Amino acid sequence: MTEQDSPNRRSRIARIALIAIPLSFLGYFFVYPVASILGISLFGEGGFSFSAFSAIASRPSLRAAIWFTVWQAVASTLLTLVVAMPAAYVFARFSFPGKSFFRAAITVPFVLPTVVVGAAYLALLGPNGPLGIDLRQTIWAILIAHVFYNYAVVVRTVGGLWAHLDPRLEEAARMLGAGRWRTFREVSLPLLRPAIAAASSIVFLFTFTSFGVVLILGGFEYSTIEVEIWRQTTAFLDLPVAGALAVLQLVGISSILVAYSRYQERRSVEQQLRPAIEVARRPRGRREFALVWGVLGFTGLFLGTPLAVLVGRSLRVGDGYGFDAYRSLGKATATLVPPAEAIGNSALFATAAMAIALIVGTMAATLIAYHRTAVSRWFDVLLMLPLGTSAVTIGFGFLVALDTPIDLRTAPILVPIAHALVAIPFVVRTEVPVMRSVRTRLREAGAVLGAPPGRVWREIDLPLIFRAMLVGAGFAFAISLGEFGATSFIARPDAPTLPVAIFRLLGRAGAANFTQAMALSTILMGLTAISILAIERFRIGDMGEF
Amino acid sequence: MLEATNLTVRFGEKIALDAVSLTVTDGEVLAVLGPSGSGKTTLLRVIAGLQAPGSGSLSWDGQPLDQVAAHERGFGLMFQDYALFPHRTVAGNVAFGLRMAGMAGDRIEERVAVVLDWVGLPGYQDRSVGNLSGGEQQRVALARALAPAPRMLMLDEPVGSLDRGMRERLVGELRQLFVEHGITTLYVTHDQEEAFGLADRIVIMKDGSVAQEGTPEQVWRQPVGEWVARFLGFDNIIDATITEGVAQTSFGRFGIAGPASGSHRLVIRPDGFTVAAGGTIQGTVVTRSFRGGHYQLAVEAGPGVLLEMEIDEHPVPAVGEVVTLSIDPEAVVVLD
Repeated sequence: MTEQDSPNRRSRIARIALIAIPLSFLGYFFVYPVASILGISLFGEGGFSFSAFSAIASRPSLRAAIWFTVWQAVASTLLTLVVAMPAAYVFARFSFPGKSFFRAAITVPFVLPTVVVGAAYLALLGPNGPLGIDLRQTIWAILIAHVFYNYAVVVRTVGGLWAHLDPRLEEAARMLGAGRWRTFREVSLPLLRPAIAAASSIVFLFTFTSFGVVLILGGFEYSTIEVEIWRQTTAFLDLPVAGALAVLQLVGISSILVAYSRYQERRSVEQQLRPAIEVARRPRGRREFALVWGVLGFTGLFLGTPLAVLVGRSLRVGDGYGFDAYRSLGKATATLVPPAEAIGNSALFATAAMAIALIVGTMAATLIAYHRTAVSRWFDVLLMLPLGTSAVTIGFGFLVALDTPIDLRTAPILVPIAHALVAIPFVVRTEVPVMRSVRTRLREAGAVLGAPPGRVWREIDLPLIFRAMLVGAGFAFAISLGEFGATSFIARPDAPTLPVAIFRLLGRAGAANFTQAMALSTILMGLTAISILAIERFRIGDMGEF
Repeated sequence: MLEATNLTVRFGEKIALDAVSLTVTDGEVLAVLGPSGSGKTTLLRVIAGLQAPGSGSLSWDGQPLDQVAAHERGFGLMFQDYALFPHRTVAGNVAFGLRMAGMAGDRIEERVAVVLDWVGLPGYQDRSVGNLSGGEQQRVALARALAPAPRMLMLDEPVGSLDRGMRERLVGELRQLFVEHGITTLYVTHDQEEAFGLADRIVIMKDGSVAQEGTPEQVWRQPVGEWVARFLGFDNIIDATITEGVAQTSFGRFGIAGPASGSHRLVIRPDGFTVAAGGTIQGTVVTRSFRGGHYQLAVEAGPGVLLEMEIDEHPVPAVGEVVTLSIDPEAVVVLD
């Protein structure tokens, strides 16, 4: 039986590594920092006290920030649903020339760095914007930017389900005498509810923890909890209050996630889904043509204008146009390293973050997809937490926790590690469904044909999930390029990433700095768009959950 | 030779296999026949090593298999849904087991060509499996299972998802293939015609245990109980009192073979009836349908007694006609 023992022991060791590596990564870089935040909020001034929390309750500015965080998230979510629903319908139900291009294009805003979106709206709705209105430091600039940002979430999530709903159900309702609106309200809408709930909770979470957009567009007038954590830490050095805010935010986020998963469990109506290809058809008649092209026109204008204005402003030289701002990126100013260096930093960090996220994420995904035990289910939840936890909390946590056992706080590797933490849930979510879709039968067929477990993984699983890994890698790269919340805490002053450099430039007076910020934003947008286009090339159908 | 002894598998409260024992001798085609949910597939998975039995043991030529992993058992398994590797070509699928066995590249190519020839797909090497028809996929799956020359081939409802004509043709081809190459085969199906047409021996399963075992002929001639009789499609099951080779029923008397006496349940096989003037049974034809080679009649022989029969001689009585029937004693099976 010795021949039996060695592969068994090998696979046991492999399984332990599969659990231990992702678990210790998450433990040290996520659980420990978050626990430290909790500690600092309760023990910050020596002994145990709730003084940091009562400080929040007694300070009107902090109370206002919490209230604003909640209501702007609700408003942003509702507004996004209403504005994006027609496009979800059009993308789900009609086929038209260039559809896959349009679908890829509307995803670009979602993956754009918050700093770029903030900068674009500063250019569009700021004092010298082409519309001639100044919405800076109003709620409208923030809400519009949030809708812009999350438009694709609704179109892809709701439209994704809509594209698979059997149109015959709607036809049946029509034959039973329901008008278009009644049919939508009584048949389509209830069937779409799971997707609407999913999209709403994603949009709510993103806007609830909005940082870059609010920081740039809200000025001193509006701030979310996220912005307050950053401000309390960097401007007022009040770590206990920042910690207490982070704890409150975590509690809020967790309750949303719990409520959502309860809702998902309670109502999962079994539906007969149909392949999208059978559902979509060419528009017929003038009404449908007007609808399809009207919606596409609006979408193009709404999503395209800010980005076009951003590019336009980057090329502004006095009253004319030129590449002066781009040329000047290489020159160092009195206080900053040359902005162009940020491009190299970002590319380096993004590559490292991609590697870390791919290794840890693939190990975790393997564990979740193949070993269905209580441990792996808990692990699934644990892995999703960094997604719910705000980036600022992660950065703040690194700052307060990672000085022991060795001081990592100034180590350059910290930046890609933070980015990987944010990216890992995406890698896992992309890989797990594909891994699960590799039918058990195929693995069994491999085993019966004489392949030992490791060989089965290499010969059958790996080729089938390889594309999903590429997609996950692309996501990780794009996320790292644009990450701002965590980076703003831990990037060293002499090694800024692109978003940090853009934010610094935006904070400086003078038209030249502003134009340079626009130029860097344009470059960052271009890099992000390239990685997303690469992902789209490798994506098979609607693979993955994002 | 495969020997399975008292294999038992539980899924929670449900018993999937209940002390199943069977043997497959070298070169034999054994069919495991049973309705869905009777534990056939579980039995196959336990033998393949894909499912551990709760208790019981397995051996091959006297060597225990219990500690041998699926990939080391050297059995071939053809899955019900084929489980072809979507990322490999036809040749890539068929060659898989050969590569696992460490065969050299050029010999693999030869063997793939030979096996594809066997299953009637010569020249299909470079096709992608996604573009094959159901029957072609079935043949590739068969070729893949056959290629490494497994010491036993197991097939799980291999023709279940094909249409009727294709199914009948393939069952004939499979039988020929197994016999020609002397392949020891364990064949799982819910279709008795398939099992009768293919197997040297049949094991009938019911609710996780073996209900009957024997050659197709034995099973067909002498089903052991009412359940097996009904499962084989024999619906004429009646109560009778037997004295000295004559059965007395509510609708008349007729002779039977064998020494039984006393109260029994009987099965009259549908082919055992003849319309004849000197018959002992009378009844009214209720339905009549043409089935190709014969007619299927339902005759009401008494209140609530409906006899199903196959009649192939002419003239065939019409619906409503009163007929006199005689029963072949050899077609009457005494149950219990």
